[in-house]
Amino acid sequence: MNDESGQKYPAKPDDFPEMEAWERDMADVLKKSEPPPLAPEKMEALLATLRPMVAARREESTPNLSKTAGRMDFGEFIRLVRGQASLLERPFWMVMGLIMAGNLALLASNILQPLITTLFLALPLVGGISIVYSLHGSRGGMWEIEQASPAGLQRIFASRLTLMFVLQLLLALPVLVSYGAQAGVLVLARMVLAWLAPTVALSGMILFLFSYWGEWPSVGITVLVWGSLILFGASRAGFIGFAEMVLARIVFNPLLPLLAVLGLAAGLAFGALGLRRLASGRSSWS
Amino acid sequence: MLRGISKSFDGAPVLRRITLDLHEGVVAILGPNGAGKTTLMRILATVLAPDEGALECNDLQGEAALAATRSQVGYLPQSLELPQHLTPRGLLSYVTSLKRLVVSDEAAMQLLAELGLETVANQPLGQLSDGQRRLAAVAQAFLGRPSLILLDEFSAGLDVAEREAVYRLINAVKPGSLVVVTSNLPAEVGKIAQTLVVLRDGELRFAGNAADLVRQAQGMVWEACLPENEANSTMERYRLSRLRQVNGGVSVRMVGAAPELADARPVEPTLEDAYLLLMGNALKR
Repeated sequence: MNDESGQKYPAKPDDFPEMEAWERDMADVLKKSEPPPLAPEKMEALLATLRPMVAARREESTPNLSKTAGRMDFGEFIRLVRGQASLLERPFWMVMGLIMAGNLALLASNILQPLITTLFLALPLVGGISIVYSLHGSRGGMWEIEQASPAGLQRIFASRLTLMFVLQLLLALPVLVSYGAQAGVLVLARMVLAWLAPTVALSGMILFLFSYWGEWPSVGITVLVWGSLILFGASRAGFIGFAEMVLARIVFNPLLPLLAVLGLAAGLAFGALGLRRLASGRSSWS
Repeated sequence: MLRGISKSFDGAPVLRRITLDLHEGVVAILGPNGAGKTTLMRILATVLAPDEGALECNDLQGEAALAATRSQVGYLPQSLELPQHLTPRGLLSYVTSLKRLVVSDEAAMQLLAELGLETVANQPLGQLSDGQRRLAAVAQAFLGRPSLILLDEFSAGLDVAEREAVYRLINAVKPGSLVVVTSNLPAEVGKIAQTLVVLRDGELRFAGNAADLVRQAQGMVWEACLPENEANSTMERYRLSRLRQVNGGVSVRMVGAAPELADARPVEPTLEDAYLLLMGNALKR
């Protein structure tokens, strides 16, 4: 490198022997000398300046592997559930809100109250379709980011199912509480079974079907199956006021506990198979 | 570290016995479309399991290697359709929960600002341009300053300024980090990568630095000026790396053995010449 006068600058530090010796002397002096005592307020001001910098550096440092690779605690799982909620679009929340509003309005109305049973019979179907909808967020390559994350697809699916279950429970709760208050704990327990078992069974079935054939076939088949069962019950009830009759037959059926256990087991088994297939990347969306 | 990785889809081999030792710095995987770049990236990201071979991470193998990789990876898939209602800020918040990290809002905003997204941080992704959406996707890969960053075709849809912003982010990764990018544009990755990996038909054709790749093309690059009426026949006979109209004819740049042209003269190869030479006829498909 040349300056304007054309004089060549030395290129290496070795070319400055005097400078090197001076630096060594200076370093020795600094090592031996003690820093002057700092006034407490100055020390505090200095620390106040440094603390945010240290915190920022800490945040930028490598993620703690043992934390991100280890077991997930409850707080983290809740954060994951909240993250899943952020993926749900406004129309979904609007539909959920409408169903809830309809629930409450029917309960409050003396004339329309019998219609609440129709809504109650549709809730397992709403639950199943919600499960499929909740998988929307993983489409279009997002599932790759999810799979490559420390959370992993299985935990993510678990958080989605948890979120959907909580939402479905909220939808069913007004009817359950209302009927429970009127008819007693035994009826309430039977109604919980009459809601929970088909919800889990249909959710498991729809997940399993989704993992093979995607959205529309899985929703279509599930609607067909549940719709046929309800229509069958309605035909036996003579269609007029059928929902109350069907619900009464389900709730007071002596085989309800056994059927509920079977429904729950089938739903969990099909759901687990579907989730396994989705998590393995062999599903229809990948 | 990839050891003897092979992968086939429906019986068609996509990767054949790839062994690569990747440590730190910026590594670019180059190759024409269908060379296996994305499949290799998906295997590196632990999204896809190889048919043969193994992925090792910090001397760990098997499930331990998977867990170790996932705990330190930031990954941008080649095609990523983000939920349109999410905002860039919301996207980072969601990915933070996936990565099991605690990243402050200030740090997330800082990251978005580094990519020029601070003014649209709270706008739904559906209202942003393709480039801004891609930048938001890039941002999530850098969230939490991971030590392994995989960017598959990161520059797709980005304009020059947006690419420069990503280059700056890549250059600012913490020491000891490994950034792997894929591209089929050697000139682009030549600006940022210390190591180049070239794939062709699923096979590893080169792994080393750009200077070594360019050196391989020494004495194999030629330039000549031709009358316009000879341009077509020259294009058919030789592999051209450049063709330009000049006064009274065309200037051509060719790679390969010495051409039988009267005024052909050897010239210094560029990275693009060397890449073209290495690819052979693969780029003509």
